[in-house]
Amino acid sequence: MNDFLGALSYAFSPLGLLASFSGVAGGVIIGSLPGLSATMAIALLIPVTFVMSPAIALLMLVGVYCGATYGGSISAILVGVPGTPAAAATWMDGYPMSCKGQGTKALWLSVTGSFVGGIVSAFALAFLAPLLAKFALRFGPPEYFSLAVFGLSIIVSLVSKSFMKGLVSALLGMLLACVGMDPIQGENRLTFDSLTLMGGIPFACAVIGLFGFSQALSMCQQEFIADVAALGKEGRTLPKLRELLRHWSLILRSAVIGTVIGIIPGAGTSMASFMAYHDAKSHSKTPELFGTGHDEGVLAPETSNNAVTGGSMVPMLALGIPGNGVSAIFIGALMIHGINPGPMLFQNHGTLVHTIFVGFFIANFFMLLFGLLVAKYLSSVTTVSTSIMAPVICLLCVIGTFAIRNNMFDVWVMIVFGVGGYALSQCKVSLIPLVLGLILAPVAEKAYFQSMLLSDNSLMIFLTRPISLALLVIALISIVVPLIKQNLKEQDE
Amino acid sequence: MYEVKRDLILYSLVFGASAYLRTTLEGLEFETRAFPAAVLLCLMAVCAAGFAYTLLAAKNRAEVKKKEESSSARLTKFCLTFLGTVVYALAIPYVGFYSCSAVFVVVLMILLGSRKWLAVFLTSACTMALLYAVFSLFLHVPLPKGMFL
Repeated sequence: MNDFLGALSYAFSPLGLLASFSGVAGGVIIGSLPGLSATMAIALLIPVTFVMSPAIALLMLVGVYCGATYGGSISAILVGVPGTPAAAATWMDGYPMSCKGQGTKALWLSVTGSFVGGIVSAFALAFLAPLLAKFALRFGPPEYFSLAVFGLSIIVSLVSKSFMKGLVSALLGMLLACVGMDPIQGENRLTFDSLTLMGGIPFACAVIGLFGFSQALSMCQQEFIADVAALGKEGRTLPKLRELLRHWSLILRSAVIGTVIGIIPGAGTSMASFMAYHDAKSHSKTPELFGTGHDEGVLAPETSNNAVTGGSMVPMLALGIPGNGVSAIFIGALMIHGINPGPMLFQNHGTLVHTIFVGFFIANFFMLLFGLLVAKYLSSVTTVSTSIMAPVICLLCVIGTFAIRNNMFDVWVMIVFGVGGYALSQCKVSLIPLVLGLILAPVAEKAYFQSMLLSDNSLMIFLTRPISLALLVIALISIVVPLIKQNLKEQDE
Repeated sequence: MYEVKRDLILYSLVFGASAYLRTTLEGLEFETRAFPAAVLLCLMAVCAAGFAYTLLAAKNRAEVKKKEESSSARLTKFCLTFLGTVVYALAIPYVGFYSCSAVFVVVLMILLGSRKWLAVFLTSACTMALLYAVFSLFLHVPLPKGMFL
């Protein structure tokens, strides 16, 4: 109790509130710029926190994490360029909403979904951290492989229009993920003797190219981005709260998906967003509206990707194991301030741990406030002429990819992916399966070979472990059910 | 018919590229080549199936003549944006990021049809100011300096 009260006194002090708010505001701005992720923002901010007390520094870093995770959706919705790779799932329905003149509504759905996701994961972090961390430890290579298979099975529901082209897209993504050193032997493949390709294709550059630069190439051929007529008084009005309450079960499910994926080390925010999107589509009464600017298509991935924030902190705080890149940097930040994460953290630095819990709640409230205040004004971006937007987007894509590793090679990768993405979208090939392939192929390959080493080349290892088996069964269901549904629908028609 | 041709070209190109990439994996260790080889084989199989399906579907479908929107103005704008970005990326290391970006934004905006000079220069100046504040002042990203800045 004393720890909790101590945390409250830090968090609600003027300095604590200022640190949290400035962290959220900075995070939102950084997250909305293509290429700049929460990981990079926190890494760059660590030196700034040297002069602060550990509690205030943690409040600021938590604010940046929450803000940057949400910020990625702003550019995805308004200009069709995902600020972070995880926002690619939001792009599928957020950008079409914006084009229909519903940018304000999409931003509102995004920030409220992110808020609820963040709060649910903060509760999970505060009350279930040790319990959930034990669950995360049960994930070995077979479970990771099954998780990747489950992730890939989502493609079936994402490409209902052209299954064959969706498969081509996913396989292209998986192939591109193979470029570089293989994860088992360390031998080069598909690199054409290029040293720069040895490390593989940088994921963030690929996403910026596929969605950002290709978007600029398509955009420059149109006159206006948004339906300006639709963006009248109604388009700028914030929707009512009851619209959100209508989707309470979807939000709750997405928040749980995000939190659980966040807890599993290395699973990643992008995977959580796509899984929540798939779940929303498969449970929706109007699945045919997904991809055309559907409320549920924005709410689900946004709720889920912000629910990852709290979840990823669970293994870090309870076990000292980083759940993702951000929590790895958090560990570094804690160690710089003389704190060693792990099971003893709760006993030795209880006040600081509680400050992180409280920090998540406060940061999410500030994020909601910030999002609601700026949504109305930001949506005006969609009415800016494309002759202004296209050059600015090209510029942001170039500087965003360069800033990741200070490397011009990444800029060329982005341009190649942009042109490839443009060509594929002109052939009506969905780019989302390609991104899923890029994310999941390395996880699947590494986990498969590790599992084979563990089981002496027996495939039964995937079926004899309960979590792995359950994931494979869910994957099978998510492949079969949409196909049956589509078949029945075609028969009805 | 345009869509059928487009899809057939897509499947053929991907099939050809996959077949070529498959040959580059020869001589590698099993663990290194197994996964990409499996992906390539699946890709070739899917492309072959897609090719056959597209041909069959085209035979069974009544030809609907669709007016294609292929105005030369759209193509010109596409080429300008693409080539403009390529030239811009080539010039950055020699000219410097900020000077090159300012010129790029102004030139591309004018080429894409912006005629309000004040808006063009204001957009360029504001974008540069924002980028300078975020990337140089706040994040300390070492952007290429080149001959100018």
